Amino acid sequence: MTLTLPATPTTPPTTAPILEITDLTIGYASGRAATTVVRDVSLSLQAGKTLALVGQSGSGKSTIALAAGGLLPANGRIESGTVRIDGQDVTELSRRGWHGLRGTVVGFVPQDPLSSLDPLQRIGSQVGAALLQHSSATRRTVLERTIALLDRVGIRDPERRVRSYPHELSGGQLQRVLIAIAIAGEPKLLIADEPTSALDVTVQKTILDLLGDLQRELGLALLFITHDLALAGERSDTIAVLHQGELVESGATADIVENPLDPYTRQLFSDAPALSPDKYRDRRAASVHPAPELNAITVSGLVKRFGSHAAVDGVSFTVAAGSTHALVGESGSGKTTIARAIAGLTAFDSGEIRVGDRTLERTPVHSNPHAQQLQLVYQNPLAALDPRFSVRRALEEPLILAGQRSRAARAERVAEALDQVALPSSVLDRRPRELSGGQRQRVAVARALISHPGILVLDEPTSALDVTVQSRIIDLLFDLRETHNLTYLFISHDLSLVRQIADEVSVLDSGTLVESGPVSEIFSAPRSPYTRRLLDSIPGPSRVTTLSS
Amino acid sequence: MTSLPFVLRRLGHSLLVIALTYVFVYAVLFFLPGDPVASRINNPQNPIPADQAGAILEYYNLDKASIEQFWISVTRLFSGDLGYSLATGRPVADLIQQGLGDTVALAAVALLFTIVLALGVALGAVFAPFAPLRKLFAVLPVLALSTPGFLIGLLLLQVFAYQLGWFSSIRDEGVKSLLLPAITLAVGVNAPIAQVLIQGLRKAYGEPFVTVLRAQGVPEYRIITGHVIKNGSIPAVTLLGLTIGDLLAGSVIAEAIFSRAGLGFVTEQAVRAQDGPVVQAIVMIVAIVFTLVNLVTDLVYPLIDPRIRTAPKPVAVTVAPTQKAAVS
Repeated sequence: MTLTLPATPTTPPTTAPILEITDLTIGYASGRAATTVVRDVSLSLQAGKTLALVGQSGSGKSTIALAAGGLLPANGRIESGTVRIDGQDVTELSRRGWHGLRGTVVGFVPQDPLSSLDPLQRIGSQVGAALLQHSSATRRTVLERTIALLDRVGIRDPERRVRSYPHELSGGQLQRVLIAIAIAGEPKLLIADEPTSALDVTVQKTILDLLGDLQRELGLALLFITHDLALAGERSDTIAVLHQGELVESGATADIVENPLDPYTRQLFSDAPALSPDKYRDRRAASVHPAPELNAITVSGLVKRFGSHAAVDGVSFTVAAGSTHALVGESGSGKTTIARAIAGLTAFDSGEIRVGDRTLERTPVHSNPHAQQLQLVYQNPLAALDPRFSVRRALEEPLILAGQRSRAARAERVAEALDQVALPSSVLDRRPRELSGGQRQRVAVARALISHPGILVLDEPTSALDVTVQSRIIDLLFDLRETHNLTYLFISHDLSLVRQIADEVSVLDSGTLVESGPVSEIFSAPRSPYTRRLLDSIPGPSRVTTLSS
Repeated sequence: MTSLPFVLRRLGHSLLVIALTYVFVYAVLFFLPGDPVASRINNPQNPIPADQAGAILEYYNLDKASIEQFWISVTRLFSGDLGYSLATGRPVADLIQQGLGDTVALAAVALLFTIVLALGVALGAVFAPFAPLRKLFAVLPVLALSTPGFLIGLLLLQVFAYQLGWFSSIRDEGVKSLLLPAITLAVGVNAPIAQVLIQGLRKAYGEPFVTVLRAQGVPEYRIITGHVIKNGSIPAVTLLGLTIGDLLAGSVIAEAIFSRAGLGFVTEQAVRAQDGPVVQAIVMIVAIVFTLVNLVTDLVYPLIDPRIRTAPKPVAVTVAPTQKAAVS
């Protein structure tokens, strides 16, 4: 269904573009030096169309978005090229010059809805301010108009919500409010900078559907910035792929998805889990150890309460030794709480957890009681590694705690662990800040492996990483599983990644287990409506199956 | 909506703190050696005979057991009687009353200066048009922190009273003579507030909502006055509360430098004479002001920040913050 969308043009292609970028080069000054972050990029976007700007972090996609909105930070400068909006050259426009355009010609939808509204002001007054500034609304009619606008963007109970503060709304609801603010002045161009990357998949789908509806209704041109190629393939008319500030490929979405020409674009396609679901099929089959009689982790009837709220409410599942078991669910579903309980880092109220042949204590303990057997790898390695510890010290610490006195023996084990995660010994004396995101996560994995555990609990280990880096870490995890006979409990909100790598999956919804079983069964025939909704929200699954078959 | 149970509980805490302070201060003063009555009785030039000394001791209740003395002072306190100065024999309440008005006036004006000064410096440090100018403003608090208050006071006296002759250094000129000591006090205490404000404003100015407002076409000065200042000054509010105590303490020095009557002057006399009841009363006033200001700060916070006001469920108030963080 998504493939048919670009094939029906609503406006004749001869109209002048709303946004036209020609040979744009942008640099950031730091001190006296200047770094060029965008080089000779040319793009064009027609009314009523969507242009997806795709790239990884540091590719310059957000910088282009900011430049198109006149929102470059003080140290950012357009060095050459032109930006034209609705026929007007805005390249050299001053702050005052932009005033006539902002809100009325160009609207902006930000990345992180949770911090994009003033926390001290009511929703109604923030939307109202935008209406008063840009529309015919008067003090007398503004409340009515605000309620109507909130209703239009799908805020439930808008009469009551105008009195709410931002912290009382969910991320998805806040993004709707921000969209309301962006369209209050009826702009022609909407710049959406990763508008859903901070949201759950089901929410992502509803927000993008809303943007699509508004686009059709108001004839908006949409500049859609995203790192998610699958999303871009599903939601755009044209795609522009950026790599290190340069445009590597651009064209009609259908052409690029079906026949990517540039090697970098091909790489992105093969690294995106949603677009290459069978990438690890052979390795997955190869490394499953047939030991079903042995359960690495058994969780039965687990309950964990915070006050009167049950974060985990009677969850039971088993993780077979040698398998990769995925725990999926949206934020607040209890996945991380379960991981912490299994690692012995948090007390639980009732139920039983067995790791190997050990039963965990229910009372709070502040250190992992089975560190030799099970280790936890966190989502954000920068937060999980002591910023003042060198890599060497971070890796040595578990050995010292385990009583390894010999310096030589420790050095040998550290070198071995570093080798396992394919890091050069030159990183040993660096601190976490001096490493790349991928290297940091490798250090975190090495630290987990250093005490030879049989089980790793991986809490969203790649969600902070770019797809290409994620893909390398996943490769590494497969390597390690094959050579060390490891068992993984893999926590993730990314269902396309889970489909790609996991053997078994347990689906969680607000603290309860919805269903559990082999990935192949659950993904092809979900029994619960919640699972089906989750699966429907994965961008481009239908396209993917048609492409790969 | 600050709930009534919350207010009552905080009020209870405050009363407990004040009561404990009273006991502690009483004990410290009791165990300190020497008092003016003893030195009057044992004056080597003019010793008081034992029978007369007994009458004096009885007058001040010094002949009774320590616990009984404490009990008398407490019961007196509840009837509004602060006792008598050991050095002068005058009622403590009179002495305090004499100085309190002047000191409160001084502290109030100094507080006003502190707010204006801290906000001015912080606004300059974050929003001044040129980077070197911003840096200059940002250095000012460091400079103020590393300069002792009395030095600033003496400097002000030297320039404005002796050189320019705008102020008298001794004569009481009403409101006018409040200015120099208030500035001295304000310069001394505003530096930490200015620094916290600078940090707060910088952080608020970098928040994504500023970009959203900009994209919406809101003029820069309106973003700053309408959003950034409010958001950025929340952390400084707590500090401002604590500063009010500092202002009272600092007034002792300011009053000495500028030869002003006030609580500082009374304190100085009382400490020098080891006048227990007076010192006790002054310490209690400072303690009460501290706890009251803290109480007010806590109660005012929810009015400024709606995120504190509306706890999602009544139970959530009792849940430890660490646990709440773990849920999310």
